[in-house]
Amino acid sequence: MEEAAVTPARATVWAPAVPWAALALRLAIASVFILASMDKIAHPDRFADVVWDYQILPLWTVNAFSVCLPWVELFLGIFLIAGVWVPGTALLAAGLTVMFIVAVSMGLTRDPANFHCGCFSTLQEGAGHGWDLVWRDALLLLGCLGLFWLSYSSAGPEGPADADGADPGASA
Amino acid sequence: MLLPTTAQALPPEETGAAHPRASLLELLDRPVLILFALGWRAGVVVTLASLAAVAVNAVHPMGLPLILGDVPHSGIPRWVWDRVEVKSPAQAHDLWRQGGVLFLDVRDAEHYAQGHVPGALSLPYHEFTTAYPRMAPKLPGRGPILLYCYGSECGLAMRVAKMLLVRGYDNLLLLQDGIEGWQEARLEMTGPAPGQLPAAEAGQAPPPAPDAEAARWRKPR
Repeated sequence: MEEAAVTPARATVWAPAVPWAALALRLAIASVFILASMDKIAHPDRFADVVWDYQILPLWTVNAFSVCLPWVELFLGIFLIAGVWVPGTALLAAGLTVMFIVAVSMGLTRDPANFHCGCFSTLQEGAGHGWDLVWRDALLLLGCLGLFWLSYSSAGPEGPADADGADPGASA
Repeated sequence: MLLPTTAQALPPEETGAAHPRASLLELLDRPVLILFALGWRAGVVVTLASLAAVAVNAVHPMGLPLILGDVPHSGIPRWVWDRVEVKSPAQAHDLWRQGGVLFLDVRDAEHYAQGHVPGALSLPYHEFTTAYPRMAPKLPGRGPILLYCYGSECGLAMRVAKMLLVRGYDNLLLLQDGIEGWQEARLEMTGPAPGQLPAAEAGQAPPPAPDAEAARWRKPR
């Protein structure tokens, strides 16, 4: 039905741009997640302090969450760059981003003066951002959903790996 | 294949390719099936990442205990906890009377100004990076340094202890129950800093102790 709604002429005009748009989105989103993971992986203790200060998770979960989350971000970025399972990975990225938006909004609402995002740096000096963080995450969410739409609609759950030409950078 | 060819870029119906294009409407038709197909792949990514995380955490110098056990604060590596000795208010008071122990108040400067252990220096956790360089010459490298913050569940003193240990300090002590425990034991406290009127004299309500800021650092559960 969706295919029928798009006229062949229009589909032909946009078709060459779709793989490039998917590639650009993949690389951009992967870069964000990989960059975000680096400092957290290097300083798990400082990231755990940041996570605890959000006052969302129970104490007993904070260490495990703080150790694992940055690696999920890193692997997510690697899978996106490799072009493996892109729809599922994009959906995972979208889910993480929704979680970030909720957490940052709660933190900003509770204590805007001392709020520290911990998004890219675990240092307390990074504090001081406001609601622009939420807008930034909303933009990231839009990108993740866009990538999901592009990759899923062109190749299904497997992503471009099993659909020749659906995504130019797909390697698997 | 990084660069798309024209044939690759075109939809399969125009190139003659046989693979079916998935429709987003299909997702709405069979949401459970499709979400499962997407979900298990996401699950594999999370599982692989978690395995790597646990493996690296085991050898990371600041690796964290995934199960807290007897470490009462998050973000504190096991070796840090083992190297900090916890002192009860009575024990800390004995050390204070004997002298030779530097008391370090890690609460915010305004709370330090409202009252602190006599002789204690202020090194607020929230200003650690800027305050530490000017405080460093006053801190004995081999200790003993006794750190305290707001109350029993305030983790700021342990965080500062962690940062000092990483910087090579040793012989660190922690005041159990923080300044609350010290006050509850009715031990000596300084009043407001010189030049600052007590709140009652200034016509203000006395500062709540612990106040909202202190409550921030208390476990809600």
